[in-house]
Amino acid sequence: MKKIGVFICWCGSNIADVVSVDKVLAVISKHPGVAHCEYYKYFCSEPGQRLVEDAIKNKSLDAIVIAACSPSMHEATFRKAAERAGLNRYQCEITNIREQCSWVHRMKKGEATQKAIDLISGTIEKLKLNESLQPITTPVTKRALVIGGGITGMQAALDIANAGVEVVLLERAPSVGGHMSQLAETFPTLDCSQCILTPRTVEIAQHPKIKLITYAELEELSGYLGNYTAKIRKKAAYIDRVKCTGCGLCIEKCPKKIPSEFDLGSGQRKAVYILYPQAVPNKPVIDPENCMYLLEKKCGICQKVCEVKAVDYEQKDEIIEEKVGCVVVATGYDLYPVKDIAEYGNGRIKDVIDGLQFERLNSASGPTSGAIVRPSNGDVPKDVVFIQCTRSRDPEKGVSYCPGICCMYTGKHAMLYKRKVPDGQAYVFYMDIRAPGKDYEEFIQRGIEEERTLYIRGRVARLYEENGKVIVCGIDTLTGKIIEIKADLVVLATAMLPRATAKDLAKKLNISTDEYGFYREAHVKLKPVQSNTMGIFLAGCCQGPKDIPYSVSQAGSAASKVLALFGSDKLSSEPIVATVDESLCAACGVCVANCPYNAREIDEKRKVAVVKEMLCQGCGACVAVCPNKACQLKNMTTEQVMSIMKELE
Amino acid sequence: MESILDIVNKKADTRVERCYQCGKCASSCPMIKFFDVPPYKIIRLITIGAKDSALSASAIWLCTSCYACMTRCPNDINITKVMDALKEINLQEKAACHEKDILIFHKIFLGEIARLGRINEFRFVGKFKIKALKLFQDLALGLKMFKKGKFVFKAEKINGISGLRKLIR
Amino acid sequence: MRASYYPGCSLHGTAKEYDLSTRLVCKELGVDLEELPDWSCCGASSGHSINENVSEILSCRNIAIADKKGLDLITPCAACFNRLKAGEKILREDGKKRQDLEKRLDFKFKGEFKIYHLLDYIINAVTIKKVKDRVVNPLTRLKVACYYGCLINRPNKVTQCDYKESPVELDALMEAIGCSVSEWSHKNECCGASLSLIRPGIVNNLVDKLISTAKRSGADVIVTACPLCQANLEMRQSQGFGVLNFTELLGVAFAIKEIDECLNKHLIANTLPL
Repeated sequence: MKKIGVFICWCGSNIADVVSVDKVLAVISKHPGVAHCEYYKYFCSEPGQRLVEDAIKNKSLDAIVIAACSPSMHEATFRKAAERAGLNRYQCEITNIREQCSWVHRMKKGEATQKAIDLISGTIEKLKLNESLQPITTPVTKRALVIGGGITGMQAALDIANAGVEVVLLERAPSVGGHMSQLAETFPTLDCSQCILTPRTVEIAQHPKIKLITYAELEELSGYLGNYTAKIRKKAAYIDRVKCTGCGLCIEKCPKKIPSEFDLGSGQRKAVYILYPQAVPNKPVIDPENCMYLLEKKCGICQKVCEVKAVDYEQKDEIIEEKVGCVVVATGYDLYPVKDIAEYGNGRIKDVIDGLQFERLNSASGPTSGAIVRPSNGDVPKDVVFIQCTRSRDPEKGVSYCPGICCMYTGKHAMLYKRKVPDGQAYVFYMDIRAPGKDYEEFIQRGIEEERTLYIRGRVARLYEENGKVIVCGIDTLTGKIIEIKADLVVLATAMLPRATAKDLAKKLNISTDEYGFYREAHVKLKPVQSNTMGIFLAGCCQGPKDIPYSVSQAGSAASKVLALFGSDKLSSEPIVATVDESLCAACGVCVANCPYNAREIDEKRKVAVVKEMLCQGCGACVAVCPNKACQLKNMTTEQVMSIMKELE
Repeated sequence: MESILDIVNKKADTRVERCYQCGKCASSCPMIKFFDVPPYKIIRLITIGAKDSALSASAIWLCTSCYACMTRCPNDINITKVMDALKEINLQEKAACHEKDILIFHKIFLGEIARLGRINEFRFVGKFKIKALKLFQDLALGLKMFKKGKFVFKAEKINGISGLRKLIR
Repeated sequence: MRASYYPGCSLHGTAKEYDLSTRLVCKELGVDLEELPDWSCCGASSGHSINENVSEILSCRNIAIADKKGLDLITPCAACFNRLKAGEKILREDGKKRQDLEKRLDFKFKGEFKIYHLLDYIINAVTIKKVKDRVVNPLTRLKVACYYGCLINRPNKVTQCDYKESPVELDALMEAIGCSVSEWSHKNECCGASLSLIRPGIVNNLVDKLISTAKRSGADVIVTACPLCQANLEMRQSQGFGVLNFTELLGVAFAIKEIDECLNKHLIANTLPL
């Protein structure tokens, strides 16, 4: 018979003011199996814990019950104390007589006391049947997978790799860089975006600890924390990117021109292309939807001119596997499409563009080599209207939230426009100016004072084309004056949205999305880079709209979480998992279908169900559904549950 | 005592306090250059409880109920119904009305419906011109219309007029 | 096809030509119009402006009559359409108010019919194809600016139309009868509505802007789908620009003899290449 010790905590006055600790002590002391019973004001304190350890040693106790606050507070504390005194930690149980008793029954002291007695009695009976268990440990694969090769993904990869940990960096486009590579200059420093980005991209390509896989996507992720297997689909580039020297002759000779996605339709690329001149890797891919050879077996010039015979029209998609211990998701954002904005032309007015299109216009490596011109006729625009809050802060037609970057980049756009067109005028329609970062407010003021940007407070009702101009109908609510501008160019600061493919990736990773489609963090204030799935971390705009400094910070934060995970060679998890009584199991598979964590499978050879202990969260669903009662939870068996119930009757 | 905010919200089945003064309503409004107070200001006056200023605005009478404002409003505020609610409250409380002719128009219109069930334009316009002292307005236009035979002099009265009168009196 | 017909007060008065052209065109398209027995005024803008209760009664009284008949209800007037749809919305969505209105108007709302504006009925119930088939005299020399006004499409939750800045239904109908249509920016900007009698100066101002914009877009004529819009656009402008009801152009395209009666009623002389 186990010798059980019961320790009743007063928790100051939290428990003792409601529950009569004297009565509880008197009754529990007489409970069969209780070899020691005492109370104390604060068992969680150092002297308190010493009392527990001493009692275990002096009275040779086999197991203990701590009747105190919620186990989520101090179960770990008392289990460690039990271990120090020589007990197995799973012979220590907590009875919650605070949150589940004294705190909720303040007015019913008598009944609360009886309830405390019943709860403790139940725990004692359950504890009598507890097994001594050992935590389940698994080895950790000390490699990280970073999905997304934009600034955030690259920063995370570098931070992890610089600590000596191997990283697989996965990027869906033919080269890394993401949206930041499309920008001309970044606020508030007006650094050339490519100039600050290229050192990163080059470092990534050359880093001995980073395996860069571009033009590829995650096909499937299986496994569990510390032991993931990522199936990656390398898309057929129809070019052997190892043989390829990046000479660019194929691109030069290719006859097929298509609107460039990188330039958002304003420039052109060939059917064989690289994303942008400084792209890493600087090796082209062939677009199968526009290549004349792949579609109709015509042309074939690129293969003919390639001096290293790198063009391979027969190339197929390749599936590879990478074993990793955890994943960092840094997949970025999309913008609200202009074609869906009815009152601003539905995308049919050439001179109405969005922020990224303006970046391409302004970019020295863009379709106009940095000249800001009207898309309709190539003229230099003299009156440019910038409209902030387009479909953002718009619960009715767009998204309710504020992306937090549009005020800043619009101010930047207006400034950069004026520097290139000094006799032009920039108008910004705004509702509020949100400039919270370092040097941000000053940046906006500079635009107003030095470049004479005119800020007009009000939203634009609609705009339409007339006589070659875009008529913008707005208002300045501060003066009440209706403002109508005949603009040459209109730039819309459209809302930042999650990627269209975000939900698909979420399903593959088993992470959740919020009401807008951004990936959901474990706690919005205190755990912004952790998802609800262990081992999957979030960083950058895929978690929510943010600017580059914040994205880079999150990348570092996610990297630190990865490094913490890889801090030890083993990962341990709680052994309160499901078990299978193989003599009763009929391999019917009902438990497999009902397990929300994919922790069950049927061993076809032995015809029994098997528990994958590292994945099992001890939820008990399988116990409930097994028709043969072959499934039990360790240290929470049916017998144990019934023993608790008996005490509560 | 219910605030003007609560009264208007209830009557117009909307939440005017959502307004963040973006001004889209005003720049959508065809009548904006004739309004003394733009629509977003009327909403603001109600939100801060400035009841008399909101009720005495001419704008609420000049509004043509074209619904352009609420179609554009990002916060789904039923501005047109707010304008109607204010007109109704103005009448109920006998507040100041600086567009008396518009009020007369509506009163006579409903009066004619109560009398006949349908509007006979000639009769209605005649009554309106007399009451609002606009006898000499549109004389030339009126003559043109008469010549083209556009006027119907015989008023139509519906059969169910007594039933209707009971309902709307 | 059979349908209940709600003309509205102005179609029995100064907008007689709209009523006549509607009847002629519907007959030609095989639509049997049965005027709603003992219909009463919808309340127009005056009802909802100063007495919400009265406006509800007025809308629902007519809906009750139409409900009893059970046929789809068509009205050519945008304001009447809007008022009827507003009443329908209450009956379908506000259970408490519906019970109260049913009691006062002594009816039980079945709601097994649809309320249409004539334009919507012709395009969707009759179909554009049928219209095309009836065209004898395609108006290929005519360029029209289609004026939708406010109340056919707004507010979306009442009219049950999708939010669109630039509607295209009337344009499609006009193209079906051979016209070319101009893309102009003031398709659904307000004409001033009932202010026409009270503040003609304001309405003149609004209408002149509409007319100039239509002219600049290269149109020969404006077509309307509401009697008040038609009246305002025709009578409150100083530019002698033609404004016709859309049914009248349909009548000309169908080569209906009696359509001239309608065309002659207009104050602005008709000099169009019909």
